[in-house]
Amino acid sequence: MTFNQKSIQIIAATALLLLLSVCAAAAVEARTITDMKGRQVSLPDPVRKVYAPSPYGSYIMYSVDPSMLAGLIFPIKEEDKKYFPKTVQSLPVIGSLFGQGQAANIEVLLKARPDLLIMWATDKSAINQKTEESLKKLNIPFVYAVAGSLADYPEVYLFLGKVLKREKRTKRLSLYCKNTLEEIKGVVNRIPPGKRPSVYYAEGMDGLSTECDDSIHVELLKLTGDRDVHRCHTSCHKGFEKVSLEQVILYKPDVIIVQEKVFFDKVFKDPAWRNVKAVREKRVYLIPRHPFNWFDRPPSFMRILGLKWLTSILYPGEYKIDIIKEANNFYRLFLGVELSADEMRQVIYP
Amino acid sequence: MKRSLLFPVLSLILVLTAAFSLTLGKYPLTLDDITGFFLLKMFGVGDDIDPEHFLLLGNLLIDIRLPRILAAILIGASLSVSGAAFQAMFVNPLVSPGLLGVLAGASFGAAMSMVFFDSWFAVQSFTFLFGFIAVLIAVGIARMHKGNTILLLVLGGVISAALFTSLLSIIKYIADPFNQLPAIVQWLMGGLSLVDHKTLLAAGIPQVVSIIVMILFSGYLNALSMGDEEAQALGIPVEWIRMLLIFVATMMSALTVVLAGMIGWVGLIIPHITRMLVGPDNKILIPASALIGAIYLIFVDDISRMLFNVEIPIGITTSLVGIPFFAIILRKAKKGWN
Repeated sequence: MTFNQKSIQIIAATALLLLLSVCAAAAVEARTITDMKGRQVSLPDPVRKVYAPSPYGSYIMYSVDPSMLAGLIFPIKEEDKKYFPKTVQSLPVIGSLFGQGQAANIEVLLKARPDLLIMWATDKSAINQKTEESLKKLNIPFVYAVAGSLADYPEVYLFLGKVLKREKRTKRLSLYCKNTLEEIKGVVNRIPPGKRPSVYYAEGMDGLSTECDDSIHVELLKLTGDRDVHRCHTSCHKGFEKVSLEQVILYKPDVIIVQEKVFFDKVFKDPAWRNVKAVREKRVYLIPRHPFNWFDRPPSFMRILGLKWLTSILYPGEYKIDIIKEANNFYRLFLGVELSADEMRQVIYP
Repeated sequence: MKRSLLFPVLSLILVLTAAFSLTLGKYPLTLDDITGFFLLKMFGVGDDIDPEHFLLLGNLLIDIRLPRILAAILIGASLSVSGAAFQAMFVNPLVSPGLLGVLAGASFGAAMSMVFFDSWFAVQSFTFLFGFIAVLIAVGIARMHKGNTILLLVLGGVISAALFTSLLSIIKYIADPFNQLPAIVQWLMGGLSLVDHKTLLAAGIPQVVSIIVMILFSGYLNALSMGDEEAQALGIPVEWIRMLLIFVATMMSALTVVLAGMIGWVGLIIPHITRMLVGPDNKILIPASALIGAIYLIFVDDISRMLFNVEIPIGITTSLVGIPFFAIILRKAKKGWN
């Protein structure tokens, strides 16, 4: 008898639990959306917290609405803290899910309880079976944002606005990207190919790593006249192709843009570099990098501003802008920070 | 080969290899250009070079190619000498300069400072410093226990190297994967492209001194290689000599990392190749290793520079070239091993 009573109790309790969970699920209404890979995803409504387990996704979220982030992809560096609101600084570092830096602890991710994951892809069609399977295990809905090139960013912003119900803001950002891309295209098209300066992109502490001209890392060079001196085909995403200084001398670049401050500080002093054309003509520029790099590594939305910066460097006669003012506008619009002209000068010419 | 001829011949080969390497480079220079430049520079004869071209030649030869060749000589000699010394000291042919953790420590120092500091001087200083710290830890562990000193030193070295290898992994893990990580990885593969006059001078003098000290002490190495007891029986202060030689070898190896990152394999293979050519007497083996190591690294760096449009990290070429080289010598070896 006692046995029967007990089993009835268990059944009743189970039924009650089931009922409750159905109610709980119904309380969060769903809406369906088509993501940028064409998948139908039903989203919880509203989406309060999201997480983007890749650097690209996280970076673009900083510009869409950082207060929606459930966690950070990297710890924010001390010197960059002033570019982020306090709430963002205190977020837990979750890390990324598939390669690229510190791997996320799944349980930390689950503990942060994002309503939605924003995945980043560079290709609409490619579906990574392994990724999808492990994502399904998490039981958190996910959408894909797809950007193969900078030209896709306006669309990505509109998509994210729709998903996160931030349409008004992302429309402005999208328009800014689109206008900038068109503006620069117009400037560059007016200049005959023979008059566009050639550029060497110096990476690494020795300034002797660079990228092939078709690499995503130098997309801005492609957009600003396509005169990367290192013409080759990129075999892998990582890039960082080693070249010799003699090769650089032979390339006779008109302009060098530099990734590392260590190298920038020594390039004019090191006698070995004095025969490189751009060094002789003092046309060597350090890429601004706070809080995110304007040009590359990672190639993020900051490149929209980078595009203006680079064009003003390459075509000072044809593209006259006040880069400090432009940059301050961009920081205000995209990052929501207000910098004084002096602070911005510090970012651009450290 | 006759003993008396050995060093003149090796030195001649070294000079010829170095001179030949000066003519190699991606920038096409004719032999006339080069001889003309040196004649004008050194003796002031022949003035048909136009001044701008003369400057370019000077830039290519003196600022770009020469430092690399000098660095290759220093690094090749240092690694080979410290490898040969360690092999004798630890009575073990499988030992290389990294045994006591100096390379692991120096690599960690370099990577750590690349992530946290923005100055190249800091990177170089920490590279050197952590090379020594790693060896100190190894020696410290060995000192904690009284017993077979050689075995304990090896054990201490393994522990210290493992410690700094894991610390290095942590650094790689927290490094910014877009920017810092590729820079660190490239550095760890080794390369002579970062060498400049100033570093070369700063690292070169202690390196040369260390090599000379090692050569002067090579007689003691013979005694040490018979084992501690025998050496003590000969009245040699084994512990003191060993610590001194470890210090000198650490100095040399740490400075190679400061100059060119991690270059493996040279310190293991060159002493063996040399031993096959000249026999096991350290009085001859040590200086011969220095010369052969220098020749080898110049040669390998030439391949790194010339083979493709991009440079191959020298850490890769040293082993790829070294293995067949070693096999050939092994087949032809006539002299005994020990």
